[in-house]
Amino acid sequence: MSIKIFFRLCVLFLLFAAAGSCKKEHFEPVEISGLNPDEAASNTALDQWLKTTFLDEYNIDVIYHYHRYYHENDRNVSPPKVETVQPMMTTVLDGYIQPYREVAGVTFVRNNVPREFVLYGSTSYDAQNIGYAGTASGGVRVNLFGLNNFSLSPGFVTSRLNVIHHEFTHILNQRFLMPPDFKLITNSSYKATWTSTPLDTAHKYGYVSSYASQNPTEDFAEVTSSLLVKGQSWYDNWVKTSTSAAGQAALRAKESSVVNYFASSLNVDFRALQKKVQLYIKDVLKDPSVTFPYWFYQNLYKTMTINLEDQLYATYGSPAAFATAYNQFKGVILALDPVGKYHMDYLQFLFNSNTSLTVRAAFTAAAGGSQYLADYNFAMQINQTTGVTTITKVAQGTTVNNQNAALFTAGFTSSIQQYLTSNTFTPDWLPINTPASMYTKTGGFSQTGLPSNYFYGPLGL
Amino acid sequence: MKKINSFLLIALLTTAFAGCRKLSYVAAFDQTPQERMAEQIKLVQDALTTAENGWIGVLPTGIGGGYGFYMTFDNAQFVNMYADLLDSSATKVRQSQYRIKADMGADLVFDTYTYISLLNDPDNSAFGGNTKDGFKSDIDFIYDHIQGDSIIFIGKRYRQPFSLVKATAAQKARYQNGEYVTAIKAFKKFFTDNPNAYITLDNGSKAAVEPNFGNSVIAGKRISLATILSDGTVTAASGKFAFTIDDMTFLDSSVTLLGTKFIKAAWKNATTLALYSSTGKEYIINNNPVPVLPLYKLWGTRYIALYSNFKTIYPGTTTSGADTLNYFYNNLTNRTLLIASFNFGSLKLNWDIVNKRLRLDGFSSQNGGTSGWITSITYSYTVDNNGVFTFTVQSPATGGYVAAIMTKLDNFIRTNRITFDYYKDINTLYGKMTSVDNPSTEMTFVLQ
Repeated sequence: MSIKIFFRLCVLFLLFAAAGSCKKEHFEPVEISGLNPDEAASNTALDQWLKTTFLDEYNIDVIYHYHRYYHENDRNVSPPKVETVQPMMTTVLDGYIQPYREVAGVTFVRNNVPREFVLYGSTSYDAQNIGYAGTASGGVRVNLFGLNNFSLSPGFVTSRLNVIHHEFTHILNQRFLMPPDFKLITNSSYKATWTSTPLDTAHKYGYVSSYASQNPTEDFAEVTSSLLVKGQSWYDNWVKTSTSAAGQAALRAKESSVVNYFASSLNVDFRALQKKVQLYIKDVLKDPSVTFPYWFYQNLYKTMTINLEDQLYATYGSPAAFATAYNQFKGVILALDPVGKYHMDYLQFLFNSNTSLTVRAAFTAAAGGSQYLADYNFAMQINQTTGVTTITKVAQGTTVNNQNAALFTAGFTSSIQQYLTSNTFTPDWLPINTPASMYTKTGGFSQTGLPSNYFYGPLGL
Repeated sequence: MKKINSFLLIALLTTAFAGCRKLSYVAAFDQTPQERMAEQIKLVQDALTTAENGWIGVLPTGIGGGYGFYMTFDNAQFVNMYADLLDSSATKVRQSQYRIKADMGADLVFDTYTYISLLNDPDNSAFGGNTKDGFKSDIDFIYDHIQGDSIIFIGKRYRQPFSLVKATAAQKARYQNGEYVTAIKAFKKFFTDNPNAYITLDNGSKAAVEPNFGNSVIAGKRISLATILSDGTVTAASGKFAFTIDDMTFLDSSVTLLGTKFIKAAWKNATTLALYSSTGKEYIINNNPVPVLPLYKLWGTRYIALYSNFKTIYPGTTTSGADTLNYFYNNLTNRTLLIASFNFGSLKLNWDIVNKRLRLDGFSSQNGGTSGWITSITYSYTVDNNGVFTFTVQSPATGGYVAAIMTKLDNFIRTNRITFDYYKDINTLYGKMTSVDNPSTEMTFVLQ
């Protein structure tokens, strides 16, 4: 072997030696995850219920054992009383998951629900002492606070449902992009410093809350949760009481955008979903603020129009007691003039205030031409708690319509007036079997104690 | 070329040997971190669950007083608890859950709501703790050490020591038979029956013993000792205490007065209560016919301030006195008098006995008291042998924004001769300010 080859072999050997020497000893990573259980090992009836109801069915982990990691590190938050966990999660199930399941299907729910619900007993306060009922993070986790004051009262549950539906909308937006048109509706007035925007200012500019004015994403979630939880009547009232026409138009455009998004992007009937959530809040939580009596007393709805010849009544029925009075009065109008043969086009209830009612009959000659109106004046007394309404006749005024009404006084008195003043009535969203698209769009009154006797019609704002 | 090869060879040799100098991983301990942590968790778990008679615990809170507990832990991660927070909590056992997990050490977490959670709760309605902070008390505790029959934890966030001592079978039976509340009531009754309780110190002087059995964050569950020194000045000490079924345990080691470390109050016999020092010496508690120390003697030592919280009229305040205080509170939103509206305010009288000054602070806030502004008026004073104070303005209102609504209280202080005395309402001791010239005007404050 020449020196040259020997030298080369030495170099080769040393190269291997140098490379080999760089190999570090095998290092065992520290693994303490097994010692750091996020949940206790208890296996109570509650744990079983949570597992079968949420984990097995939807892959949702419900965490009620306190773990500091799940809340903001600078806050002091207490764990829940165990006895509040199941009632709270039942409201989540019935007011959130089940409506989506029934409308959008179980697969949709399983694919999209947040994976963790973390429950706390106390409120969570930030540095400014502002208390939070719920928060969410990363599209994965929803934190619900204040369970130790759990109550099936509407305010408690709906505030949490509002958070959940709001956050779930964010999750949906992450999977199915929110419609671009929504961002443009009030694009010029979003402000990151939303806390400096008073509610009435936000309202004026077409937002459902100050928080919504932060950016389009929050705005979209706020509109969605408001429509679902606060309800259509609340939204209609919010639109109506916005002090600018532009704000009103913006709110309507946002509503429309949300409904279209659910239909086109998610293939979900938003109105059906809205009705499901609203029925839960109305019938189970007994929240008066989503009922017709509440908004009737608030005088949100200004008119209810009845035309028994309309297809509406052929489809959903027309109970005899009112129909008899209606048709009797219709006959009286027809009999007024054998030549003109006036036809009663509709009967309209004008709710002037929550104490004043005008019943208006519109009639037109058989040959057509001008439509005439006959107004009959009434007073109303509404029980604010039950909504039970008593109607009494008051003196007629001197308007043209009042003078027209004088043509049929006797016939009206013995028919419609007789029916209205000899009964008391309970308002409700009637008829009850309408499709979701009509929910809160029609309303009516049933005779107190005789719920099968009722009259109803499309509502006007 | 040969030179280059030589250099290359030297470089490779250096690299090879330098590479070999690298240290291999050598464990500093003979077990892995997870093995050691698992061992420590097991140690704590076994200690807690194998104490067949349960544990007697005491816990000082960060900004409130001290609290006592009796707990038993089982292997299914349930803990049964009694506590001295309320009569009901001392009577009725409450079951909740706990777990021990790895954190900055073995971490004992009371992870569902129970009595100890009340001290942590940031909702004022839960137990009267401060909104957001509660009593600054934890629900998760890091294991610190075991000593004899004791196991000591440290609160994870607020760093308060949570000390548990194994109970005896007899103690367990008494806790579970409802005798805890009986024991607590006996202590309270003793001090009700002996309103001027005192002990005789080693130097022969009397020291007043004043427990506060209330649960207020500011002053509740504390005990104070105070005595007059030979030069007429007063020295005082106070500390937190917790009830056990046998004694009132003084927390934070002791309450130390004139070098004596008092560690507990306990029954000498059925009717005699005594304080015990760290050396085991007994100091029988007797009752003086009158308060051992007049309140005015305690300014600057036992008590440094009189405090009136937002819109709180304390018991013992007369109608006229309430009018004086409410003028401040009710006008916090009065934009005619003030340049801004405030949603929180408080009043505080601060003693400076060295310079013979009293400073009236009017605090106002627009965020519920989290932060705000202070307007101060400073008075100098003279006091006669009967404890009658006369105040003169040393410096008028300065700072803050609420001088205009402090005028009524300022006027009272400037134009009246004033005495200070105690006012006791059930379990709470207040400081009462009374006009000598117009005795119908009395205001009570929290003693701080």
